[in-house]
Amino acid sequence: MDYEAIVIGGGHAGIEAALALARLGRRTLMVTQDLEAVGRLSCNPAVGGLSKGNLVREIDALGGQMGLLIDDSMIQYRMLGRSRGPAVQSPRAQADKALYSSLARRALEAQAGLSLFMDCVVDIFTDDSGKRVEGVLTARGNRIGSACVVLTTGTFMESRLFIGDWSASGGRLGEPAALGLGTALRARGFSLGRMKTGTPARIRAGTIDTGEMARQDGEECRPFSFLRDSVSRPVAPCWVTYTNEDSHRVIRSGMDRSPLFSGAIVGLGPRYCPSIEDKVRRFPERERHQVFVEPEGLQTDEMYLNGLSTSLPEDIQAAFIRTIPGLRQAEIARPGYAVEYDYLDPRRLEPSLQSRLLKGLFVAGQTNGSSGYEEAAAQGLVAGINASRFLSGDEAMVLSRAEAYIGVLVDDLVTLGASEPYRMFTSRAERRLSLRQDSADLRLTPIAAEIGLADEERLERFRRRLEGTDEIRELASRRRITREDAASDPALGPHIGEALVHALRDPKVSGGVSRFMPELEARFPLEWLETVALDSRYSGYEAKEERLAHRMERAERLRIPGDFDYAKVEGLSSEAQEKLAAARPRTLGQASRLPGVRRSDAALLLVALSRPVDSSRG
Amino acid sequence: MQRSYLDDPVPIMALATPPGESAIAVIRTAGPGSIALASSCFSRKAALLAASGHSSLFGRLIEPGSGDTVDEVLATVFRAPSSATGEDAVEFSCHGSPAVTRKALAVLEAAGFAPALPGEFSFRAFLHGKTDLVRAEAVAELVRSGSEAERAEALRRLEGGLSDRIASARSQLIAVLAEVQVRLDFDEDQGSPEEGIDAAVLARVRSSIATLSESYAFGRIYAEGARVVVAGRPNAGKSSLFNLMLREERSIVSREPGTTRDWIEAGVELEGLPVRLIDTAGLRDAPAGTEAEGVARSRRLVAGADALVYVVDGSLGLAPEDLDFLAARGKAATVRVWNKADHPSCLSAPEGFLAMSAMTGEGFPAFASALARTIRDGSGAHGGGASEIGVRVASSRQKALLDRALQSIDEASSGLAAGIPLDALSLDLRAAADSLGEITGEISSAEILEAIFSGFCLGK
Repeated sequence: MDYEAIVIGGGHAGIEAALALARLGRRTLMVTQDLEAVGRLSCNPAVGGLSKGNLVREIDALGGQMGLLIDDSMIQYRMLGRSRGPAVQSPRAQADKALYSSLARRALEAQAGLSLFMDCVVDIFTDDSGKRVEGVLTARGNRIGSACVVLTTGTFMESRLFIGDWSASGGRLGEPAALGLGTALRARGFSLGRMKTGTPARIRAGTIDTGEMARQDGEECRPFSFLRDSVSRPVAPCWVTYTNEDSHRVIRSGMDRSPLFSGAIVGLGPRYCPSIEDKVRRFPERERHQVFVEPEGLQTDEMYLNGLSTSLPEDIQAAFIRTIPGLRQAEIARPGYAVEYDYLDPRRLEPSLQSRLLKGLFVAGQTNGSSGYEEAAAQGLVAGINASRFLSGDEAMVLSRAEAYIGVLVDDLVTLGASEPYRMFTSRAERRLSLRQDSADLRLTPIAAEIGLADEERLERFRRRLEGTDEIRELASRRRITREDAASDPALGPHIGEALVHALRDPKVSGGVSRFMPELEARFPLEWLETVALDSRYSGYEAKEERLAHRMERAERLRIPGDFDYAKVEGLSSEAQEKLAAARPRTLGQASRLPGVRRSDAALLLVALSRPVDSSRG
Repeated sequence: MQRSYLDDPVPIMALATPPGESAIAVIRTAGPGSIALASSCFSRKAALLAASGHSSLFGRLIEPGSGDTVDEVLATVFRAPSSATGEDAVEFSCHGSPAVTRKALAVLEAAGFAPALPGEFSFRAFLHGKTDLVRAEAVAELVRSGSEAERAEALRRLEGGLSDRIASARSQLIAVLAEVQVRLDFDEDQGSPEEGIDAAVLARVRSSIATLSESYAFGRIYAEGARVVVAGRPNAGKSSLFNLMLREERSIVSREPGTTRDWIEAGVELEGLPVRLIDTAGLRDAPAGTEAEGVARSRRLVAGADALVYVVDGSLGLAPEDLDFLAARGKAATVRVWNKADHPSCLSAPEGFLAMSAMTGEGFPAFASALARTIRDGSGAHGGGASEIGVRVASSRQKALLDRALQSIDEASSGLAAGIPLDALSLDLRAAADSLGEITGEISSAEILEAIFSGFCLGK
């Protein structure tokens, strides 16, 4: 074997997979079509957002790279969802795209035990049984041996680009598709489908009129990574404007040449990230749609038109963009386009992200039908960790739905598959109150330590954080609400004499620990104070959430044997039997989440699984 | 050991027709091995074993040991999965005399059939994917139903009336969940509404669930029968009136043995309403010493009644005791009977009393319709929200789930008013969705997302 592991692709999934493998001591090779393009942010120039910010922090807590990359390349930071509840609030940062990408490349290059190679994988090869992967074949005829392969092809596998009537092979505008691999995998019996996503035009900053738009600044930058105490970065503003009836009229006039509606694109696009033509068509009553004009970086003049994703013909794009206040003179540097690509049915994967068809093959990222940098990176990390554990014969790391959004992500993908590009939502997590972004390290760093991905620095910081929050909690339970407190805030009246940690449980009591004990701000990082306050605030709700999820957990615990014969379950509806046999869920919980499996089917399975096997009864 | 629904499925049996005198009684059996077990009690054992599904055989139900004939029966064989429960099953139609059915059930039990738990046939049908839970409960009530109105009610529910109503409450709740979820999953920048949740949205879904829940009282009357207690001073004629009603109206359930209870209960049908008539006579005539206990029990019966028939001896007139009782009763559903109208010294009936004679039946039709009206009025069958929806919630399980959903929505409403953050508030709504979902199928997060995407223009 030339390598212990090969990672195909250098996107967000590939980076995490390759780094995790190398950090765990595996001689790893990353094969990518273009070393200049690793870690590219193909679409919006931002990382994080509601639930996605949680993913980034979980990736970091597990020893991944994404948090550090965005910390060192952010040009604007915001905490989203503050008004919606502290448990779901999550950070998002605008990124300097070129910087992000070069930081990613530097991290890969600096990693001991990781080789990088420019080539295009066109097939994999297996042992004689055809059931175990042994390496990859490349477009230039290289045959590279490896005991495991991580497939992270993003939007590049057999991909096509679309702008109006124009269509050509390509993975990003100006970058060739990876041709051959999808066809080879189909021939090997893999189940592949097509998905679609799109991106808006980029315009020149010098051609916009900021006087006609509202300025949007961020707040003070804060780090995603638990390895950082603070972030100091130059920042840049975004600009807000709106489409109008004129824009919509122009958009409608180009609909007949849209590949979305002409049938040229067969892949399914994401509903949560619709193109502007889709928004205009589906919501005809809307008089305007919001547009965010966002910098692509500090070293470039290009601006991203967030909200205007489109694959309309270029003349229509130029025309409708110029109907928008602030953009009347806008010059397009790159047109918006749609990309359609191959993905593998993730239901054919183990929860380790290893293929059930081919031992040693792991799949992560958009190749699994997901969408988003963060979702991709999270899977890449899981695949990298589990590929390494596969090599050493250790049990796979499977995070539960109750301990991480990553657990929800992987479980949803391998159980339910992706009928549209899968994006994380907080509502997908049954235990979202417990999956706060600030607690990611408390939930996952112990696991990173066990796996071997938490270095000394991380462990030391984690220990200090645990001691620090314990100390804050102790101080806050000794701090009593006084008459003086209540005199300045009547909401505190009912809590006089109570410990601060208890008073915080009352939703009418505003603020956190630092409101009452500002002196602590000098001693502890702000986030530690917030963690203690939120732990108090949410303790009651978390208990409630746990009660609600209890039924689920019982089902999660009930394992279904790998060779379980659904045909033998009396009375199981034939649809459920088919769905279950195809999906082979590992727990009753997974089985009950499958579409087509009714509650009565789940009840039957419960009965079948709960009773001892009795072959005497027919 | 007590069996439970989740135990291994054993062969079970139960009387499928109402107990009591009738032309035909049906005994159902079901479960793995039930055909073999049934054949051991059947005169034509081999024929029964060989019978194909949905075929009927004429023969004799016999006691396996002695070979004695219990009755001439028609045995209908069902083979899994083509049966009501999805299991092998045999139904015996025998003569509808209580003595025969009692003996037949004893023979079958001795042969190895376990008496079915309440609703176990429906539960198995549900387990085998033969029916959803709402249907399962309606089937059970259809089988039990003894009166025309009840049968029609059960049929209407089978046709999905209740499912439709609950489904509409469900979709309203999904809309509320979408309102909350969209705010949790999307930033204002992405088109998520800036304003908070409107309390009125919660109030609307609450009222549609409340309407369903309130209709429970009337639905229960159709499913279980209205409890009508006959009360009055000793010798006012309570038992005569009780017996008159059994004579005049179709009796569904024969008089229950008085040995285990010290009141007498019987089922009659009154203008299509099933009525459980309770005579408290036994309580008052209890031996000295237990009098106080009898009175207390009588009070409990009266308090739990859907309607009260208070009988006064018209030849004696109103006693202070009568006046006290009726004053305490107040406006609660009561029919006041001025009995012994046939008696020569009967006084004229005061305002609000119906003159009749329990001995001769004089004045009975007016009494019967007054009682039926009182039951309907008391249960909200006339006017009010409950009657408008046309369907009734009959099972107490459904009632409990609806009430739990209501409670969760109330908690969410008060949380909203108290300023609890949306992420915590969503728990109560999720709980409400779980309760409602237990009636007509789970509310999945995919459904909520669907509602979000169709209702909001999202995405940057």
